[in-house]
Amino acid sequence: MARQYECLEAGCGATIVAADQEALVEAVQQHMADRHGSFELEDVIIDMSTVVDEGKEEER
Amino acid sequence: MADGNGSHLDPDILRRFHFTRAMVKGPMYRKYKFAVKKIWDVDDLDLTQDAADWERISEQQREGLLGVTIRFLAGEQAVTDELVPMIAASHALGRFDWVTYLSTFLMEEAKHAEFFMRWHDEVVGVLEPEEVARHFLVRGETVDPSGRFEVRDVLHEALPRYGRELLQAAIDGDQDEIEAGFVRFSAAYNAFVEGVLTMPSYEIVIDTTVLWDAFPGLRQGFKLILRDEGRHITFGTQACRTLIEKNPEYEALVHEVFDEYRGNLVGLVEYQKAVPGLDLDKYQHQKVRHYRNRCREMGITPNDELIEQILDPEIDFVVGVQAG
Repeated sequence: MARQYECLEAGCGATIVAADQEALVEAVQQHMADRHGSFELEDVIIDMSTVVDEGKEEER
Repeated sequence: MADGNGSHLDPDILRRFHFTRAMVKGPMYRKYKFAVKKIWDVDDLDLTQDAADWERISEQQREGLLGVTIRFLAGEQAVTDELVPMIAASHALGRFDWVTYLSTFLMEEAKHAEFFMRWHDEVVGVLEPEEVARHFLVRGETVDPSGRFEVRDVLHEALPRYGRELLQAAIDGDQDEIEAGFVRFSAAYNAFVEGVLTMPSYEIVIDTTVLWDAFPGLRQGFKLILRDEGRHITFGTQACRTLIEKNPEYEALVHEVFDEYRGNLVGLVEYQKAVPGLDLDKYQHQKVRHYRNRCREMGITPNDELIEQILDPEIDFVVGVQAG
């Protein structure tokens, strides 16, 4: 089931969407590395991710 | 409740059993299972290259790196030593799933302390208190030139104080006092220290090892520690969320803790500025993310004034440190 996670970095607010939890963790880490030169803790992503509404894009 | 033979079960006997199907499916038990499955051993890390790198870097680089790692060496010992009140309080609240998870939490904190002990012993050649204390950067020498903020030692000052209060509440047995004490202690320990203040320090050390192309063992150790810390932080914030949902007045306690040590968050403190050549603005932006994440996990509203102060370039502490 598709899941999403909102990045709360100052000045960001992107919502990252992926097909499942494992893909979401990978996508969020990619976002953190590319956009913020950083990383996120896996448990933080898992705990605060939510099931996505159908029809969302990969990253907004 | 009646047993299969139609006779009533003794409540005193029932209280001896804690597992339920709901608990085993719950988030705290999941963290316990993850911790058990992802156990790692300090002895498996190879520090040979780190020892060689230590020999080739300059004296200034050595002092800069030690300014951070010695704080971690002291800090991991402190958080190992200060966790007992949280275990006692979880027991007093009848939270067997919390106690179960905390058994892994305490072991992991001891292991993190072991990692820093071994790294300093094998790479730097220091281990005894007299050898390492001389590199500990003293907090009182970091000052805010505007005089608005005081930089205090939340780890070595707030945790023991909140811990003593929580332990006393657990002994006294008043459920409201235990819950309030738990929220204060967890806000300081898991949300403030682990979840916001220390996160930029992890990144500072990892970035330093990349910048210098050195210390792969230190970098690997930090990444393994961070995997554990993610569970620690989200255990504490999830527990706070549970207690705040039960009594929304507890949200104010979290903000009180953050206000009390606001000075430590708004600027970078001495050990976080010890390594030259890093983009320090990056760590302030990250700090805001970590603060917002902790508030989201606890289900509370972030303090916008605190966020503005963290991002305010005018707030920059003067670091005039001295070795301990």
